[in-house]
Amino acid sequence: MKIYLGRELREANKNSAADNRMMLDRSRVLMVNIIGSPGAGKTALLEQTLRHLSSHLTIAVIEGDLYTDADAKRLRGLCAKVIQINTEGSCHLEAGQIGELLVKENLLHTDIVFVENVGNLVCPAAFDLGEDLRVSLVSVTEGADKPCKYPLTFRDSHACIISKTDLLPYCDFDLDKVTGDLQTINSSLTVFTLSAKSGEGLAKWCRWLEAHVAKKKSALNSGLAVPSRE
Amino acid sequence: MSLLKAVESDAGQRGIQKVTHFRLVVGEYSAVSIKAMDFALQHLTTGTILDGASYELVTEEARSQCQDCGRAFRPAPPFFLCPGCGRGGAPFTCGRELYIDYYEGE
Ligand SMILES: Nc1nc2c(ncn2[C@@H]2O[C@H](COP(=O)(O)OP(=O)(O)OP(=O)(O)O)[C@@H](O)[C@H]2O)c(=O)[nH]1
Ligand SMILES: [Mg+2]
Ligand SMILES: [Zn+2]
Repeated sequence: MKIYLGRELREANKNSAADNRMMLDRSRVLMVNIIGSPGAGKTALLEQTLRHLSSHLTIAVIEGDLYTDADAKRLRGLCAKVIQINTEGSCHLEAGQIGELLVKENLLHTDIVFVENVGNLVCPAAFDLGEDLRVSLVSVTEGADKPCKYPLTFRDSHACIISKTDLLPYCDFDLDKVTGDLQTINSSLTVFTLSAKSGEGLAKWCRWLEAHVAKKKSALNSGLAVPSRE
Repeated sequence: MSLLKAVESDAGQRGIQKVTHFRLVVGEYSAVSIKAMDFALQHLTTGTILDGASYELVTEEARSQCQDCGRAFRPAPPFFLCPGCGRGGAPFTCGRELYIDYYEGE
């Protein structure tokens, strides 16, 4: 007997992502999925972002790491809630894991949920978590070829952060070329250049987040705002 | 592994005890490596309904359709531009999925 299935194996993830999106829309909570290579500066960015925003916004962070809770520890005390997921070897987070936490940990009463995905520029990009905003990070120390080497990651993002700009004088990183490549890959991408160390560019990034929180809160079409990501 | 779950649950509903063959399609841009998948299939199916089944692993080429000029084309990295009008951002119509085309069982 021959059975035609035609079934997408990540269908379960797609369904969970759609569920998450619906919960987040109903509760008007903004979820931001942060993707970048190991060491790109995701946690450092979050540390600084939380310092700017947690005085006036209720924020939760979900930290995805293979085994440790070192990153979660760095963020504890900087916002309302920090939750660690250990993926035990898996190189990305999946929507089902996030959905469970949204409910169990009462995250739908916050203004923003940040998700720091597992350090990896490839696999996390294939797993929609149901986020409103996908932000990919590339640090100036990683080299100017990263957007062209991992174009789909940037194509599927809403914003890209070029991080560690304080190190620009020591790196052979052509900022104009990278910005140009990113715009060619995705013309609607918002590009930020910033340094978590010097604070340069952080205010603009935080204002962008605040604008998205405000937009989400005032959304009349809650439950309908489903961005397509094919 | 979701492959096992998808086949197991479907086979369960149809009363199929053993899977003898299946065809797995890996999109060119599915973020899955065919070599890694092959390795996984040789090892993770042991003791499951798929144990001993022969399989075909095929790559599916990506396709795009331009939203500006309507042209269908094979997108090429890194910019995936439309060869007709030069614009980027055309959605992929296929090539990003990972799916089981069919299986055979008894
Ligand atoms: N000079 C400089 N160093 C930075 C900056 N941001 C992060 N770093 C350093 O880069 C290293 C990695 O930063 P993390 O924030 O831990 O990077 P990450 O992306 O969270 O790393 P993983 O979670 O392991 O994937 C640390 O040593 C940071 O101090 C920056 O803006 N400037
Ligand atoms: Mg980190
Ligand atoms: Zn075109």
